Amino acid sequence: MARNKYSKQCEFCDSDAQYVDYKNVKAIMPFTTKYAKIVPKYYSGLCLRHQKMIARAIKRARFMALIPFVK
Amino acid sequence: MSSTDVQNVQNEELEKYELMVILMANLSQDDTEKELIKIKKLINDATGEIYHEDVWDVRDLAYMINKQDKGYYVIYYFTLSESKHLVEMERELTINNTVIRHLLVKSPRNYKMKKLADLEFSTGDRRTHRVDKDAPPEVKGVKPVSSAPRPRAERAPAHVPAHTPAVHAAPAPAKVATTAPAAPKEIKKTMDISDLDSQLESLLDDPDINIKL
Repeated sequence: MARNKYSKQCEFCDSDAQYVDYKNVKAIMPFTTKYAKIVPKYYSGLCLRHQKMIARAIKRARFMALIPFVK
Repeated sequence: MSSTDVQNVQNEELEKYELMVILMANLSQDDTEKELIKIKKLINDATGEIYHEDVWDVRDLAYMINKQDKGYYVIYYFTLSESKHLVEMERELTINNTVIRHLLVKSPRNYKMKKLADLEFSTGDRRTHRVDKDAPPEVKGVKPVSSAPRPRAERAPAHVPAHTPAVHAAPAPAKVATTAPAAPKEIKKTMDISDLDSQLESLLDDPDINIKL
């Protein structure tokens, strides 16, 4: 998820997201690689707070078999 | 069940929780219903009050669990007055063999519940952004020729008629001659475009479904 390097703020900060829902697979999937790994912060362009939210959501979704651990 | 009371209590004090459960998909309807009743009882025994229940029905699992590739998903949203009973509830769920997986999550205070339909059909914000981002680069290709932003606005309409010439160009000459034959032509062409749009949408929807599963 390479992000426009000129945009400073993370996109969840733009929408002022307080929580990332693990059930919302469509919102989570862009932050996984094609091998279903979590995209690192320096590629995703997220701030630390929202990166952690995303990571947690992905891990929960994996556990509930909504998204795969490995593709 | 006085719903207003429950809501008031929710807003004031009680923590909200959500419990997602995956049941075996190969159970009969009666068995699944029995299991669901059991789980509801568990929640109620743990001093929980269910305020919403979302049944996702049978879904493909992203990977095999206990040699199963499908699961029956249910989510219970409930409020709790005492959290100490949750341990026992989770223990019961882990013991239960028909429950493949369960996940208990404390929802944030201002959590807005989304049903499955909303999650599936509302495209995520990121997706829509992407589509928007895809469009501008084409314009960007035109940009370097003229650096000023105004010409862009002039050029954009110049491109648009290329796609839909009938709407803008055809009516003018047609009206001069005869109005009657012009009208059906317009309708036909617009119909074709709308058909194409719907076909494109249906095509675009398919890969999404594959990705999800």
